[in-house]
Amino acid sequence: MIYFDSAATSLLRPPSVRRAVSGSIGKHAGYGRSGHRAAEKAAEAVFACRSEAAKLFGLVDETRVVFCTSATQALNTAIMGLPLQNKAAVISGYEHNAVRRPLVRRSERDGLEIRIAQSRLFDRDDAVRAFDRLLDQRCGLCVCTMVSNVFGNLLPVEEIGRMCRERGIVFVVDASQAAGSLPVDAGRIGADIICVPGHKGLLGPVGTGMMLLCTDVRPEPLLFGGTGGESRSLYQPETIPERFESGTLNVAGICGLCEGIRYVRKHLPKIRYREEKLVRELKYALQTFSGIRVYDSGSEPCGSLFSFTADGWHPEELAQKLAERGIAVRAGLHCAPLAHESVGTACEGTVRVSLCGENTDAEVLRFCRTLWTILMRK
Amino acid sequence: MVDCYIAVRSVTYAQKLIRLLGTHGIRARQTKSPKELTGGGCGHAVLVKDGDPTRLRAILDGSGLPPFRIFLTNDKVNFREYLSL
Repeated sequence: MIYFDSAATSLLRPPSVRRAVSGSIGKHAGYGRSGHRAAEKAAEAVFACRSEAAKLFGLVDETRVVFCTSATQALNTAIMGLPLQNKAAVISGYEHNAVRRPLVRRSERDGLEIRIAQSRLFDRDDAVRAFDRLLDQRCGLCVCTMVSNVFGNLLPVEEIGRMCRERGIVFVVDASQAAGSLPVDAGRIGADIICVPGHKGLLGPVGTGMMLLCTDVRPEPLLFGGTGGESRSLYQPETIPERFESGTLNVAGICGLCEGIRYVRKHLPKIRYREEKLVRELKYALQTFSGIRVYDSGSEPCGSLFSFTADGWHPEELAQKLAERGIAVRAGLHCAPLAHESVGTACEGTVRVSLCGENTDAEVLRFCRTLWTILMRK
Repeated sequence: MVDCYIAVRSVTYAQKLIRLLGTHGIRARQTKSPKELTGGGCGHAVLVKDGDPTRLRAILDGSGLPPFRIFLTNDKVNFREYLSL
């Protein structure tokens, strides 16, 4: 199978990730709860991952790395846990439902006003102007994705972060499609909270993610329960990260994530180079096909994914034809209807191609030939 | 030399301290806090066997981390808190 769906989840992971996950099972137990050797080993392994993550994302303090089950859980913790009653929140026009749905809930429950900073696709200056217009005194929160999961456009998070700091607005960044492909540095971005999945570009297993507490902003926890300490207290501990980590952590998953992060730290420039090259070549090739519209950035930098549509083809139908021929892509709205509304593809969605550093030139070539064959047969 | 238990708030801080002490050549391990220290509740500690509490206190105080309490014992039954002079 040719796997061009890495934006959904990684499939091509380093062997060290698989070894770490299977090695943890039967070795680690009782994390944060028990006093035996298996619990001690579990604690060492989990802290090792926190330490690797802190280094990757430019955090000095490992306690600021909070493990979650996914970026969605991290985003929900941030959005649902911040004091936003009768305030406004500004988001880009390219946000995932993991951002939009909890904000809608806050809107209905707490009177939060949602403002969408609409901007032209692949126009970072336009995005900066859009955010600048909307980030005012009533805003309590700004949420922005680093890379759209539909079109691969990069949002100007550093500039937005600067505006938020100047105006005293909490800034949450969704780095789901950036982590593992692009540098994500907490200090440079200037966000209060950065949310990342473990199972996409960081090459960890599904069921892992992180909320990075970059400043002293502390939302209310989403989960309340056992944390392995201060058990007599009826309240969540104030100490981070345990405050946000009720329940038993996915230690085996975190072990795998640790290896994924180590791999990324070692190979990020190479990963970025390969992904950029393959995306550029593939987009160039598809643009020569009659009837194909590629949503292209031109000379603007972009993420490791892009979308296209084909005349006369519903995206789901085309994706299915590709799947029958051993090529994995994703079609539809990609859990991000807002992005499609911003670009005008909300009616049927798009076919999304998302690559990783392990994809090859040969796969790109075979994709093009296969797509050509499918299109010609209709 | 006595066994030194450093009371920590969480498993994460236990691991942080173990690594910190390791950079100073001090071997330490994570353990559950003895019930004599927690009053029967749940807590975590970092154990330094045959440790030098004065040196530990100096390292912890210079680390920039939140303050930690150090408890000393010779028999794992009777504990006394180490207070700097």
